[in-house]
Amino acid sequence: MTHLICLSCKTENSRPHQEGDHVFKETGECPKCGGKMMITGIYVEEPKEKKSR
Amino acid sequence: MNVYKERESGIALKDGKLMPWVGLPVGQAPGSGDLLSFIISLVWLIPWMLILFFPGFNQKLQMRTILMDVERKLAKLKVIRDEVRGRTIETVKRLGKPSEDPVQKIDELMEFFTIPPESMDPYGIVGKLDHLMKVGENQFEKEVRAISPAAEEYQVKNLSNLLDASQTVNTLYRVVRHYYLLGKKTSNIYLVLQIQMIMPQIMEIAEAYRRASTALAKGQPIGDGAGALVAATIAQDKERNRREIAKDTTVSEMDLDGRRLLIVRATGPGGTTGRTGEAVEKLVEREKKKVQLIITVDAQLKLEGEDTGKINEAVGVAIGGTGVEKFRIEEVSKKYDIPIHAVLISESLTEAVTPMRQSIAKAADEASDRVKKIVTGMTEAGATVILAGIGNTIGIG
Repeated sequence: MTHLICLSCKTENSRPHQEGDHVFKETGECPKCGGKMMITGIYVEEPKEKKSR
Repeated sequence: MNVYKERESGIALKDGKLMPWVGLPVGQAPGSGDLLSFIISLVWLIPWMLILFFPGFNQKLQMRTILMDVERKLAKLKVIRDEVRGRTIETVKRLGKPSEDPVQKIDELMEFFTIPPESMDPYGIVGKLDHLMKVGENQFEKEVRAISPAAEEYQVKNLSNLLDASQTVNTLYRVVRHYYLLGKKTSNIYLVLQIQMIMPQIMEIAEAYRRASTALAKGQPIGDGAGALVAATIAQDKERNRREIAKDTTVSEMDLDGRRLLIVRATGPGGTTGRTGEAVEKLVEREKKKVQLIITVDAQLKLEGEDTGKINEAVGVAIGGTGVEKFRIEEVSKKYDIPIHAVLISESLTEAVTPMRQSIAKAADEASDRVKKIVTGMTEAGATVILAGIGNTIGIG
């Protein structure tokens, strides 16, 4: 997942990773205020641990 | 209800059918009765007799079992190798848009390697190793660039990483196949036994590289990039005058509570580890006694049972690889008597080469705060500090 933050209103957003994404890249518009969004992190969620019986 | 009825011969009956060795009274050994019992006893005894009188038979049987196990894993290894190779070919075609079919060249690059220098006389071996690694790296990149003319510079770096992964899996497959065939040909049980013992680790590494190839093809950050991510996080918005100081390596400056921080890291977002050792050496030679502290931040292989993302501190240089970059920082820090400190983020080998996990990304934020505390705690205002973020910068700007 790619995690983004709006540089104007600080709205946080996330979407699936797209080719060309990199951390600290300014990309896209904020869905709330239309400001510039910046990628703050690209990482996968932790795998869920198996429950022990 | 007891459904077994004993006969005089010692054979039990269940629903009127013969049930050998069930419900026999104590003292009545199997085979003491009719022909069937005798045959069963014989069948049971033959393998034991063979093992007793022909010791080689036991070993042959064991060897056959081991070979079958290795063969099964070798087939799985081949599937992984073919998958990574296929992904590499597809990515080179997609990003590089070569005019000719790149398959033959990719197969050649998968077998490309650098011959290590002679170590009989170790004097000057670091310089020789450094030279060979640089020549090998440059040649490899040149070949990758030639088969991907449409790829941008950072994509060429990612493709080189992807080809590196293919090369690693291919080497694993070839080495395992070699020992399997050699063991089979020479009937050497000790040879196949050794390869069988390390097969679980080999399969784990191959599986990690299989997953890594997906991340490398898409340009996603990997766990190994933790150190570079820490440096990028600290530098974000505050750095100035970012410039190249060594191949694929940049330095930038920023103020941190009155200290002058020189930040060294590989040039992202392409997949490269840069030459951070060379960069730090150049910086120290330029700044000389002004540098009061060198901090390296890198990923560290965790021990089994430890948590991913655990942050450790150490004295010394935290850089993996061939040792050349580490040697350079140690030498220059000794020359000018500069303290060297390290911050490490724990992760497994699999986590280091596969897409970055949330726990590692969060640990990078925490490590950034730790680095700032070390800088302010160990130096006075006005000091110059070098921070080297070590790691692969794929997907990190």
